[in-house]
Amino acid sequence: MSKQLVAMILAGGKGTRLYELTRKDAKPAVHFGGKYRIIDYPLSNCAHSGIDTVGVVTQYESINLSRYIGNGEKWGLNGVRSSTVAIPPRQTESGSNWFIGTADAIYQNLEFIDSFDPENVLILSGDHIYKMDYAKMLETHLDNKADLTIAVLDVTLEEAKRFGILSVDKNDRITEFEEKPRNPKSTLASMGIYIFNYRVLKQSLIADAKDETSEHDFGKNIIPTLLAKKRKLYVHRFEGYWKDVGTIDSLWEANMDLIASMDEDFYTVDKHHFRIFSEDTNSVPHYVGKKARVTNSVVNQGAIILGEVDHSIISNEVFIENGARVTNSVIMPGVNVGRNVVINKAIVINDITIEDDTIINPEGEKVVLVHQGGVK
Amino acid sequence: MKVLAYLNLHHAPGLGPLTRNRSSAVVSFLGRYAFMDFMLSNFSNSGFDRIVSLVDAHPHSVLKHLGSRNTFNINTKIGMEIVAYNEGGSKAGPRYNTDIANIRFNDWILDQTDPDFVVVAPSYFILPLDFRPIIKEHIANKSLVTAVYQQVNNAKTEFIGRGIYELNSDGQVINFSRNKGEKNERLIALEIYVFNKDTFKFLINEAQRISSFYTLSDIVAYQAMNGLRVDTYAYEGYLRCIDSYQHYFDYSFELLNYKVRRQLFIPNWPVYTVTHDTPPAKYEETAHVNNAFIANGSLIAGTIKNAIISRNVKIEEGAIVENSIIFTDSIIRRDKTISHAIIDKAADVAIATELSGTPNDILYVRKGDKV
Repeated sequence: MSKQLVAMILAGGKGTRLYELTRKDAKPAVHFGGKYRIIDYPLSNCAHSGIDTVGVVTQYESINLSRYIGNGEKWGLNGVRSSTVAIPPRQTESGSNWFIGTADAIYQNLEFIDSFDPENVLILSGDHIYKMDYAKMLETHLDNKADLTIAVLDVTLEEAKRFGILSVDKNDRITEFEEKPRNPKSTLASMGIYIFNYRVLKQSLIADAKDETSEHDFGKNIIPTLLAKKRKLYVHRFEGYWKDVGTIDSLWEANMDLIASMDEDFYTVDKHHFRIFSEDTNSVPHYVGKKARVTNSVVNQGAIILGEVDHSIISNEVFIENGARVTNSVIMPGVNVGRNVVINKAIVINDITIEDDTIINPEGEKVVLVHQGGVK
Repeated sequence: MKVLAYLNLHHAPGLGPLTRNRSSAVVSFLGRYAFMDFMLSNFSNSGFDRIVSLVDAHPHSVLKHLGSRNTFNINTKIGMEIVAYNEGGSKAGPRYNTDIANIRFNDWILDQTDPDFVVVAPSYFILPLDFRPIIKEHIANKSLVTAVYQQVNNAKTEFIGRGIYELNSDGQVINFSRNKGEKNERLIALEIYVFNKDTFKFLINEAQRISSFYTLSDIVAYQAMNGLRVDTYAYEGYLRCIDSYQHYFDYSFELLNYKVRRQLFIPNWPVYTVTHDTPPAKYEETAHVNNAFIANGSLIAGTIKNAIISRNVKIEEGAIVENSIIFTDSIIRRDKTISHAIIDKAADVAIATELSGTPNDILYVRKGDKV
């Protein structure tokens, strides 16, 4: 049976700008929001969008990520017609090849996609935080009879300088694409979310693979080539929260944004709608001690808080001792915060111990990363 | 070694208003668990892969909790995680609705799994129990039946109505009676058994021959006193018998104390339950929380002191919750005060300004009520 839409998630990147956070984990496996991993977002989006087939292309530290993805059960993507597969680089008749660029990562897996005989393919990144119904994007794509539809976010003119920017005509057909323009002609920023007509995608990837001058990248090569060939490229306008979490600063900001956005709607009115699925850690509900004080924060199950916490994210199995004070910080799972420790404006990497009386970043001029080896 | 493990929900004590419309096995505990999770996790952690829940009443509540029914399974193909319900027995009235009648009604399970050993355990005793050493001893002693007990020194006030054993010098059961609270030192029968398959089959057939009202514990006791060798295993460690509304309340609060909690939640012995993928709890600027368990999905803007807050509970600004247990999906509105109360699921405390019980008379608000 052919499929209308198969999703491929690009999750192979190392994420060098996250430093020690990605020393042992691929970027998409980095912890987020006290309970989640970054890749829970695109996978949960797929589940809520009625997509049942997802290939997750892995490369850097692929074992932990593959184990986490499993058969897709955590996101309900293991039903009768479902298929969730982590795909690392592999050895084939033609040799063994690492994925060279984003386009190459899909090119090397065309046979996998072929096996589902899809009409369209959704290409996603494994490192963005957002909730999106891809079914709506597919609708836009089919209405326009597009070869490629790119999801866009309307940003400010200043922000536009940091993104791939798309100019469109009155029908939202793309006329121009510029990567990080100094003088943006439009404020429609590419979110790195693409729906391709599969026939067109396959042709482009095969042609691109033969081009020795290509960097085999969707933004740099595939999209400009299709545009030059006057193929039908359209935008799909997305409204809502979206953030690339590729740096320590942006990861911290996204976590702080989560505290602010977890309002009443999220918990009561909206509680069964579009929730982000994740792994259950089999933890006891979190415990708040007799002298503790917790305000303005997000706290996951399994945590024990005896000290003070304000405006922070506390993950599962975090232990915060008496007299400790944690502010404006993200504490990843399994961290022990000792007595009288002060932590401000920090991301604390998972499973480490902060010794008693340690003072970290009290002035808080910039976000710091706390890891086994020290403070960055 | 194949083990068939029955979770026995028959003949469990009621918990007053909490069990009016649900099995005591699925009563919410510590904000996230159902009581049955503890024994089922013991089964799973002990490596048992064929697990049957013998449901006596309110099967809807048990089915709802078990959900996809793979929470406790090890191998989802070879393993079995099912609910056995004896519809006829249930209709025939409580005396006929025995564990043995249920096992016999669903006898295909025993035939199909063809186990080496059968384990039976109830859900109203809460304890972290590793069955592996018990089975090891059962095999080493060439036992037919091994019954688990705990030696206690508070039987005058606790474990009233539970079984008590008298043992001979070889640790075999020579007498079985019910605890009426005459003295403190007792060997409390936990109604946890390991049987050889053939002994088990003999007992459930024999029970039916003697009396249609016989329970598994009745026939074990009857046979023990009539010459069957029933060996015993002494369990030491955390044990609570959830046998009344008051005990439910007291044993919940006792676990706020870390020294007690770590006896139940022990390392490398996870307690599994059904996940609902709720987001972590959120504390607002106005939150003031001390000595409490808070489950995921809760939104806290009020004051909480000595309390257990379950999933998706909302405590609005100015609300005060003290010495209380709030079940899933309930809301405590602005400026309302709750103390010494149990607020059942999806209740809405919006009208009454103050709802106060006392330590010995815990106020109860029904599931779904608006008060």
